[in-house]
Amino acid sequence: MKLFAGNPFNLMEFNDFDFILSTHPWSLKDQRCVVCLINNNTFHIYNNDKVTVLDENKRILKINYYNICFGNINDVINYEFYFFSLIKKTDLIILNLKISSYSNLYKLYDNIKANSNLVNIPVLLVENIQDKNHMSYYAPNSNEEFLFKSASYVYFDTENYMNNKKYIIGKYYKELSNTLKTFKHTVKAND
Amino acid sequence: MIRKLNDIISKIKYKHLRKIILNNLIEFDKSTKNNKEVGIFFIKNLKYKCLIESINSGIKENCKLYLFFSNNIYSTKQLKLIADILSVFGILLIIITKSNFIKIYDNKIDFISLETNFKNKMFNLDNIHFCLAYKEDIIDPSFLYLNKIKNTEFFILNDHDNIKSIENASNALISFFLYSNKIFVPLIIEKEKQLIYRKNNIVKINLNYSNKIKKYFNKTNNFLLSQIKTEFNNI
Repeated sequence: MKLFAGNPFNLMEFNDFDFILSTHPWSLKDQRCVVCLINNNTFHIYNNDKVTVLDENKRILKINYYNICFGNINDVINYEFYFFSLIKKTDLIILNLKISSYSNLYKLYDNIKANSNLVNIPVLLVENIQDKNHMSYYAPNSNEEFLFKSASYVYFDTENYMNNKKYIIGKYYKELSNTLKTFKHTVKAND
Repeated sequence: MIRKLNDIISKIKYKHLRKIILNNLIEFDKSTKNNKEVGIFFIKNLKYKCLIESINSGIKENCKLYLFFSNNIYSTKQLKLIADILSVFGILLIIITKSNFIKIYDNKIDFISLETNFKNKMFNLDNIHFCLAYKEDIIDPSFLYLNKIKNTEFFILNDHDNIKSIENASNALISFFLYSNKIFVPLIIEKEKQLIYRKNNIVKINLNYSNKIKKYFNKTNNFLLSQIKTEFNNI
């Protein structure tokens, strides 16, 4: 899947896309592909005439058998989100991070790498710091380094970074299944 | 004849040890409890005298968990005597070898191998959750998620060959990983505050800060949980 992410102004440089992730509330309308506009914590998906809004209660987008899971700043350190992506057989995780400073962002990098390695799913970060947007991309076990870091826009074919080991839940599958049947999460008043 | 003599000697030794233990029990009652802090004692030697000395100094520092990393093989008789000593104090000892974990608590000896089910790998001490983990476990997403929902604070490893995997698991779950006096601390905690206190063979870890971070960043999301439950029901 050919993906572009960044300021739609830079779209002019490229021709062939399957998915456009625009960091601004506009995009080139005549593109014959799926377009995603980021609006605060929601993702507006435009596919021909159809408009879908992805938020905290709807996170998965399917494009030609390619699953993308969307998350926000609350999901970055939460292993549950990454495990959910694994269960849903996600091919790419997109995280929209609105952060006040770069130092906060660097603290999150290690956690994103750790989680991505464990579930074996690549992560694309849309970093919004002081109203400036940057893109970072991490593919699991790629020498522990981000393939793109804080780029103003990215354009790549996701097939180039595909992993052979996919969707392995693990040998504790049955025990987890039994635990989940009886597990009830209660929210305490001081939580 | 020699066997009888050995038995007599071991009985005398045992009676002597029991006296020391009972004297120490009085001290144990006086010691104050601090739930926010976990005290772990890394035992260097399993000889009875050293064990008693370790328990002595451990109890003074409120240590309830005792770890011993070794590659030796222990006879059932040796383990039973150790279990007997430990049961008087109500403390837990884990002998960690390359092939398995031996958990000794409440006069019971449990051998925990890689194939042992998850329930037996987990244990709870003063409301703090511990899990025994093999190197194959810490790269297993289902094992890690089980620990996430069980809110495991500490993992005890029998191997630390693959440091990258340990660091990944520690960062993802915001939990502490222990291996032979070495503690793997999640980076998000390590960068902020120094919470570990070391004194000889004792390590004390304050869980106040890590629990707050977990509550804020790694808390259970009801929507995701319900989706995961549904997905498991469907498969």
